[in-house]
Amino acid sequence: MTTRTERRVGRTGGLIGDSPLRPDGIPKLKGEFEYAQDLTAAEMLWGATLRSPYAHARIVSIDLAPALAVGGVHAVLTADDVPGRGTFGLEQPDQPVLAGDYVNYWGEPVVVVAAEDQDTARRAAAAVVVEYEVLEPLVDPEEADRRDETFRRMKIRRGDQDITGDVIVDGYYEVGMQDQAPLGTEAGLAIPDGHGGVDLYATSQFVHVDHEQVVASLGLTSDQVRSHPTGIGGAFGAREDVNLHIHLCLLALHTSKPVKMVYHRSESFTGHVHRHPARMWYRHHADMDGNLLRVEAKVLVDGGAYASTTGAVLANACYFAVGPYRCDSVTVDGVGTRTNNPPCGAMRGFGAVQVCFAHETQMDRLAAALDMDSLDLRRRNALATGDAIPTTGQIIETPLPMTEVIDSLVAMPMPDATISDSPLSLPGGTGLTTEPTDVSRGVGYALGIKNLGFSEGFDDYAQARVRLTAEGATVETAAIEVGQGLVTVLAQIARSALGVSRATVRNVDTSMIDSAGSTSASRQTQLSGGATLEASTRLRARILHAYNGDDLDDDGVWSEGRLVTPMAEITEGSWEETATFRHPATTEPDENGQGVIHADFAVAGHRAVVDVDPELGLVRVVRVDTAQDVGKALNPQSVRGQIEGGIMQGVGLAIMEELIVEDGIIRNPNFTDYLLPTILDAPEVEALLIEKEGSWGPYGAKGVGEPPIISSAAAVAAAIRDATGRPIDRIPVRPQDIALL
Amino acid sequence: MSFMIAGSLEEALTALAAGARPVAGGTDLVVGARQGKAPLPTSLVAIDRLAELTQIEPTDGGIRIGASVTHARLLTDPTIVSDYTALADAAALVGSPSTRNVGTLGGNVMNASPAMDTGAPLMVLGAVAEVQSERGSRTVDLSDLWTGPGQTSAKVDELCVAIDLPSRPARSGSAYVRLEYRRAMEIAVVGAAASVTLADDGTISDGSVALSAVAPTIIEVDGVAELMAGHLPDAVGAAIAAAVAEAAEPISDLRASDSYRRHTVGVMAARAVDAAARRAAGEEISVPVNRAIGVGASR
Repeated sequence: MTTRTERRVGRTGGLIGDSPLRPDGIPKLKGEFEYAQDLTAAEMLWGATLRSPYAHARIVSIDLAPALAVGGVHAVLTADDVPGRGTFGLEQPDQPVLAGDYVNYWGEPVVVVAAEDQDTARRAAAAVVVEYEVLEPLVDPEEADRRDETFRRMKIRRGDQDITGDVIVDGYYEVGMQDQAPLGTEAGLAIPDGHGGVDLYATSQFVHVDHEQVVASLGLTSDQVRSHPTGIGGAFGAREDVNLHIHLCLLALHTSKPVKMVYHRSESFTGHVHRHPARMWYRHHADMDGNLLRVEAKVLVDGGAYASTTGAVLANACYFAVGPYRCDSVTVDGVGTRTNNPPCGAMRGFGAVQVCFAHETQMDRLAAALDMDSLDLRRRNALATGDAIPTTGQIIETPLPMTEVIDSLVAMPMPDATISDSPLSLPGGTGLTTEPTDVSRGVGYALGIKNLGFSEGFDDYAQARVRLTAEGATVETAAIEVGQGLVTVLAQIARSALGVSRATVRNVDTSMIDSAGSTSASRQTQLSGGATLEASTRLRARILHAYNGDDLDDDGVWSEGRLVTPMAEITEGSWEETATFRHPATTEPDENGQGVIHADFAVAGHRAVVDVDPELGLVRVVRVDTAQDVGKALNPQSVRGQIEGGIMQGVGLAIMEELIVEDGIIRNPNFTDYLLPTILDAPEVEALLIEKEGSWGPYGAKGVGEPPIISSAAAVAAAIRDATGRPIDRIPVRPQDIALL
Repeated sequence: MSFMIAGSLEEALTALAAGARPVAGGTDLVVGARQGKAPLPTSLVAIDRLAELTQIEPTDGGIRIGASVTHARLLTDPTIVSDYTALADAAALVGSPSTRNVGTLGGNVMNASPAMDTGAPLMVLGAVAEVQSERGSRTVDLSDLWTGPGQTSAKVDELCVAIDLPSRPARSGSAYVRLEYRRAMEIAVVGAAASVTLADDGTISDGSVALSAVAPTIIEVDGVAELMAGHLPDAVGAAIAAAVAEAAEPISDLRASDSYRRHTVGVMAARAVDAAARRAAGEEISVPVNRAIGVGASR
């Protein structure tokens, strides 16, 4: 007879709180993982897209004949070939599948082509002759605001609207347009099913919402289209919107052949939405003791040509405009403008990043004006459970360890104060550019807050199905693994909750399961994890009930320490449970922006140490320390991965990552001129995970993907300000902003 | 499109005379075509297997570097590192390890980018290019070779086969410094190379400064030798910076404004002179490279 002790020893790792190997890790390292770029099918054609060379123009005529004359071309399609709804969009279907009478941004798709190979498809697309009447583009977002060219306006009014402080600090701030720059470009394959329907495998963060939009534009019924999760090389928000999805299906249905598309790098920079550039005007009021009395802000984010998620990004920017601080009197006006700039949408941090740079700079300036330590000022005003969110008035009901974050951050050891003479650790890179005597060191702090999950009354849920078979547990879900480790953590939850050591995650298409929602808003571990936990828990209870047991493990069902039914016998039956998990309901804002707008919140703090060569304006980020509110670290290694990656993206935003847009045209759509930090630019990172259970996520977990970027960029900017005395009111900080003042 | 691997220099020159373009490392040609800057030539002749183009050899008056010598080789070659240090500094900064492993000196010179890294060092070291065609061989001063961004005075059938450098005077040193925004995979925002020769009393007896990315070609700054002569190295920084800022004709582009380039190239030139003078005085300043890959760490 097997005893309890023996079977505990036999259990492998991979439970909650462990950091098991990612199932996709080694295949990715070895080049064996199948990304969307690697998909293939027999008799497959290749698609290509002709894009607008103008930011704003009227299409006078399109001559397809030269493209059709290219040998090997199977289809050349325009807006006239879209059988269903001619437009798509996440918040409103305002974006043409293919441009009709007008093009409204540089790079807007006009014609799509399918041909026998990629080069032929691209040559054929280039052969199409489009006659444009070029129009004046609207590219100044403030002018768009004046002309009321907007996607959304926000008004937040809370508390006394007349109070003024003893100390008042004004500021104007700008954040440039960052790109998600996923290393895997947009790619996909559409396969016609022979009965008028289609199977779509394409880069995505949310296959069910792709499905809805594809169905509408194809004019098909819901069951005629199946959208399949596929391998993704990075997302960061860039995969939430439809781009090549409808094009692929149109071409596949038109040619009755599988059609594949892979965007090349510069096309990827125009083929997905970007982080909204922002302009922010602030006024902070405080009393002489440093109590925040009032915050006034105007927040402008430029949405570009089409809506995408501009409304929600703007709302988030406004809701978190004050940061993680108590304040009873708040005035925020926000506008999301419509221009002929490239469309902007979701990117990691989703509005909270932009305002964090502004509110944290304001807090530093307020501390200086009060002659107060900036961390004392932050501590004095820090939000805590039971407080009201300053903008919306929503009472915080879950743990919010802001003060603990500050205290932990201050207690973390500082790097050696000596400036190393190794060229690897000096600003100016690996050349002789900078010597230690040229360097000034600076330290900066920033705190950030963001919501978790979708807000403003959105019915945000995730479905997951858990099966138990002779192979162990299988979690079925349409949730997208974008590299963050979701497939690892869902298996950990299934193992822990069900009690078996083998668990795998299987992605299934939109016809096989209900939505998991988007892999965004730091939500998937909480939502799909919650559904996995609930399905696993219910399945375990049913099995125990069926076999009259009190425990379940790899051996089978146990009762009072004795194995009563072996696993082989149990798995002869069919065992599955499907659960749908919803986070606490939220409400739409009232006319003053008040309400229970968000499901939960997470906070983090960052301390950045930088070395600056002020004469040249060059910055080396030496170190970024962080303390982050994670609820419960289900997989500490994955959490640290999110933290290190998010900080790298924050460092990029702080000092180098910016799409330069002139007259609506992106001037640097390539990795030569859009600078991403390399591993040599990576700072040392020390992360402290603050675990306070009590959130509604599985085991009390909070989402962890976004907080690492929200305040890291602001902390780096603060450190540069400390090192140089320069105002630094814009990120990315350009060397000339430091050297030429 | 035709592609031919030349088995001898004669074959390569014949192909060029027939209209082919040469390819060695391909780091400019292929990347440029991918980025849509210029389509690949319809006829290519590969010259990377010609052994006579891959030698570094002493000559009567100095050293001759074959056009196909890679950046990776330059930055570890003992003679280059000790006597022509600025060239090693520059070679160490080009692109990435993989670019340096296949990219060649001849390719860098003939691509004639105003932002090229090896150009300014070659200029202050007094290099001349040796070009050859079926019609014969000739040497060209670099200031005559580079005529504009991506433009040279070489004829289409002429192949750069080597770079000749004169021997170095006693008590001389050189250095190249580059301004870059990130720490790998970068191109120069501005760059400056300096060569300094010291007299016995420690004052400067001769010197020169050349600049990257502040004019349509690499430029040498006039009057630098006169400016420095007779002065101690640490007394010339401000004057060098001023002369250089005056000589520069920078443009504003994606990477920097003209005013930022003008300001920083002065700072960079002063720092290059400082490093070159310290090397001339015998101080060990190693060729700064990506030490993570463990090459070129010594002087």
